[in-house]
Amino acid sequence: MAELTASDSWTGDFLTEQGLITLPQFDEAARLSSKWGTSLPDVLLARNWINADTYYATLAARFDMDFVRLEDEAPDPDLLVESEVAEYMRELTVPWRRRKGRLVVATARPGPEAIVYIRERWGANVELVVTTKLDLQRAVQKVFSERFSHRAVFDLAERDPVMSAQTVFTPAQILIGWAAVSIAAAGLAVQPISTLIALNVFMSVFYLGNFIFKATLIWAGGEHQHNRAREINSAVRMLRDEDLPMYTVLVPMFREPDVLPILANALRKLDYPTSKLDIKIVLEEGDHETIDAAVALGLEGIFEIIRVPPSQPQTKPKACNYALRFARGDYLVIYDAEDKPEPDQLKKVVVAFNQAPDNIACVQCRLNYYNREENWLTRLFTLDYSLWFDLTLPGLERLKVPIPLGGTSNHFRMDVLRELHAWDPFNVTEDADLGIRMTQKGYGVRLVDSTTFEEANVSQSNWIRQRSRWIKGYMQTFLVHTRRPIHLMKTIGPMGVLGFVFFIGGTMLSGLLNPVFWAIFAFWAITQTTAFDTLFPPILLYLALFNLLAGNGLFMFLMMLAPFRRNWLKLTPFSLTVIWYWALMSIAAWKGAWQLVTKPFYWEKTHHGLSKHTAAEVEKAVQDQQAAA
Amino acid sequence: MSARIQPAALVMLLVVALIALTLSMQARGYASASDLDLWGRTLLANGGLLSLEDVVTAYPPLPYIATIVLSATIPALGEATPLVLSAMLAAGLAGAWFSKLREFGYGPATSLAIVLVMTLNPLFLRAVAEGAGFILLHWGIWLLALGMFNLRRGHRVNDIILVSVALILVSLSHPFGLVLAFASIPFIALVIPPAQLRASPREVFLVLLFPVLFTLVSFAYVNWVFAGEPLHFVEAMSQEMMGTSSVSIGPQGVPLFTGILTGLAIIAACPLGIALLVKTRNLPPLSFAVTALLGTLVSASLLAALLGVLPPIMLIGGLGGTLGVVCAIRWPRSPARPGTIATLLFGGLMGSLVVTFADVSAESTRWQAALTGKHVTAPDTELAGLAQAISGRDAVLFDAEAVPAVVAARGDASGLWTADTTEFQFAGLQSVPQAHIVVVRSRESGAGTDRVGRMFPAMFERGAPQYDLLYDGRRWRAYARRSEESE
Repeated sequence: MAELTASDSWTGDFLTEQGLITLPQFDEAARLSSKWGTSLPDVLLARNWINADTYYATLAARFDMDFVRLEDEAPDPDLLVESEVAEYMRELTVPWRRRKGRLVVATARPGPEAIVYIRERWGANVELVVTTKLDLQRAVQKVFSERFSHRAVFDLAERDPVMSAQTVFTPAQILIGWAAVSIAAAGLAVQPISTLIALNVFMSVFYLGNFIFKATLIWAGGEHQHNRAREINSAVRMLRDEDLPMYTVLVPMFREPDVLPILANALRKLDYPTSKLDIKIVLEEGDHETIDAAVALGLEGIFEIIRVPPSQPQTKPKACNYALRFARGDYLVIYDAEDKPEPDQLKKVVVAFNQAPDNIACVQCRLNYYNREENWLTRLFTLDYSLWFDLTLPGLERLKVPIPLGGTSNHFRMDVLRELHAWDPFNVTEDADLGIRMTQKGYGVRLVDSTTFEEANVSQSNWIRQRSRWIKGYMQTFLVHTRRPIHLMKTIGPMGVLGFVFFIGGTMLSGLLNPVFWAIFAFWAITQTTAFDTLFPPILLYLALFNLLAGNGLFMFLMMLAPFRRNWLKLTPFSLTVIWYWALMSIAAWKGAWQLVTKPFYWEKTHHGLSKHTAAEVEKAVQDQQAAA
Repeated sequence: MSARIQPAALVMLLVVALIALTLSMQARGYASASDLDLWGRTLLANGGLLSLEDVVTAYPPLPYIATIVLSATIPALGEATPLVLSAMLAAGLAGAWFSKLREFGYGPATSLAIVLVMTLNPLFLRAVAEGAGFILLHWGIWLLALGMFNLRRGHRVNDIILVSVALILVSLSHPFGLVLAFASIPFIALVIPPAQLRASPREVFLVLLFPVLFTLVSFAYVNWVFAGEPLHFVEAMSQEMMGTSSVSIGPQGVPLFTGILTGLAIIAACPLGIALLVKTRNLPPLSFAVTALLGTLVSASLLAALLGVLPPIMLIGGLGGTLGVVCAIRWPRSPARPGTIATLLFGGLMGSLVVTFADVSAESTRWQAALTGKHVTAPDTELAGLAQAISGRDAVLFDAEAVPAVVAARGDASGLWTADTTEFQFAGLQSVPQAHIVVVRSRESGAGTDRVGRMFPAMFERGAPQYDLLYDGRRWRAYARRSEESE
């Protein structure tokens, strides 16, 4: 049998003696406890080998303490301190009530360690009662629900309003936009041809700059990548479990009950001591189907479920901000429900943080897809993501351009995340925004060669929904961070500004402009009309043709390079069909632009679990769990 | 001196030295036919006598556009522009060699010595004198070699980019580059990581060749858009630009023999390649890369000879020198490395001298004479005579695009009525030209008649009423309007 702590060993013996668990269950739980790095009771509860109420009631009786249901007998809110919430959650111990002048403390981990902690924290003059872990977590959440909910929405907007997307367009931006439109209109009225040529020149130069910049990024990103990966891999092997910090894992979900088994399996596979993991599944309070599914799977035994009270905007960043209040790790990472991070990712990140300068506040891991071969869209999406995470982001890092963080697998230093007021709930690409904000505040982002595999969208309409949100978010991010251009220049430098403009601005603007130029080109090529001749004097026609040919050729080539690093070369020929993918991107860009005006904070939900591959993964995960049970 | 300043200082020094050398040779009458052609076309473009359509469809585009940009940026350079461009590109390449040698463990003195030996090699100096097109070919070989040596490791996309960019660069810099790119295709297989070659051969070739194929198709498309013919650039290409205006070596009419000799010249200039091949015979990533590069160069020579587009042997052999630098860089590190490299470099220098003396082409012979301090004649005395005849004259009806070297020799394009001018088009509507001077090419010239000859079919043979023969050459004649002469 694996070695247990004295407390766990005693608990296991006691429960076996009481006939609450069998000896084989005790042995297996001990094995799993050692394997997962968690306590024996957590395993027993996670496996449903013992009922939580029975377990806690028995323990209370054994220690001659009262067993209370905090759900029915809530703690006195005046005794709870907001700044100590993380500690309550970590120690599973809260001040409950005052009884006859003595403080009564409720704990969900009765035993010698808890008693020592309570005496150190509240002194000797206290009484103890036992409650369930679930009750304790829910009770604390309930007490602070309203305050935390308000903070989750308005913390950034109230404390650092210039960095919040709550105001979509500032008066100055509206004025500049109005002036630009007026000048263009006046120009069109007075000198229509010259004005159109000037606009044409502007857009052509923008295109040229955009693709030169992207090519530079890819080149910079390809160099020296492997050296750091080797350093980190060797440092990971030197790590000792006892030196690892507490790690919070947030998994925001909304109406995704089907993928819970995948999530549970993936998180259990993380090569990190479970006792040092603070895993929080973040669910909307009204999302009963996912909550019920999580409870049915027994996930509450090992993961904490955070129920986010309803409020607007109902966005992922708001949910994460809420959950952050209960986080107790030194580092924090966000995963999506269907994510499958490489098992050693957290350790690699810890090493990366250890090796990085003090100003590095975030480590971004790579994202890619496990269902890449499913259909045309998943292939193109995989190429797109490979290009983004494997080549482009390393280029940004190398050129010291602010990195827009990807949706998941971004790992933060908790202190900095709190200092920056976390995510902007009004920004629908809160991660990208946070990456830029971090750089403006003097912090940096590092990339680490560890991949989280996700489910690629299999449906074009679903993809457009997702991409339109991303592009809308990029627009919000661009608007927020260009409010103070001089400040931006001072904080991120000229290269950073150039990169920001081309990378964030270029991505959205090219999506919007492409259809216009494609339409002109198609009409001109098919009809051989001379109607556009005045708008395209020969030199401009040549520049436009050069952009069209060199730009499209270059982007196709970059797409071809994308799968090279992972040796997924079978995807390469699909790069030749990327034009339709760009067309979808333009549809998404226009949809995003429209929503920026009409519904700026609306969160276009991406439906997960549509992939056949995901269904197979779920089935496999369920089988694994059944086999383990 | 810091690691960053060293190469910059070297580049500056070499720019000055190479410009001084080429200018002194120019003062002795030497100018390569391709540089004259390039400068003539630049004068026409800058003078607005060529339409944008003609500029953007001209092949090879890179040296042409680079020359136009440089002449527009520093107009004071005048006729030295192509030489300065060529010297700058060559010095930049030498700077790149130096940086890479340092990166791969050579000390500053050794790196400097290697760079100087390679830069002062007669074959490299000949390439500098030939013009920007050929130096860009050297750049292409340099990048191709850097990429090929790393590609087999399969780690970095940068190596794929290097190979792809190199193929584009050579294809757009010189007609021989097109042959080089084509010849490289089978040899690329040698440097692809074996696992990738087994698993996805088509995909790997697609990645490597897509950029150059897309570029060439795009160039054809631009030709189609602007000139109405996808292959317009082939028709418009001159012998001078191809660098094949004179036969270089070997028995006339036996191209294969010429090709083989040229291949041997590459090896003579690059004994480092053969030595590295032998030394690394058990190290496939290196030995396969050397084989691929030598194979590409030698087979391109054979192919170019068979196609009749082989430049002089000195120019082709010089490409072996650049390959030699890469071989020195990739030579396995050991205490004996500097000595071995010095010996092989000396061998390469000797081989280069042999190639220099073996090259009896007119261009190379003139270059050798100018280098040794002798005054030389123009590459084409007939064109030089024609240029002199129309020099300083106004209203010259002349299809200058057919022979831009005349414009270069004339010194400027002012006063010319070229095919894109209104005066030229107007002349076509009349039975008798109104120009002061009419220049026309014989239909027996080998290149056929020019656009003036097509407008006035009897002009070369019989002249025109009111016009007297001003210049009489085998291929070109100039007629001057009698009234103008009497004026």
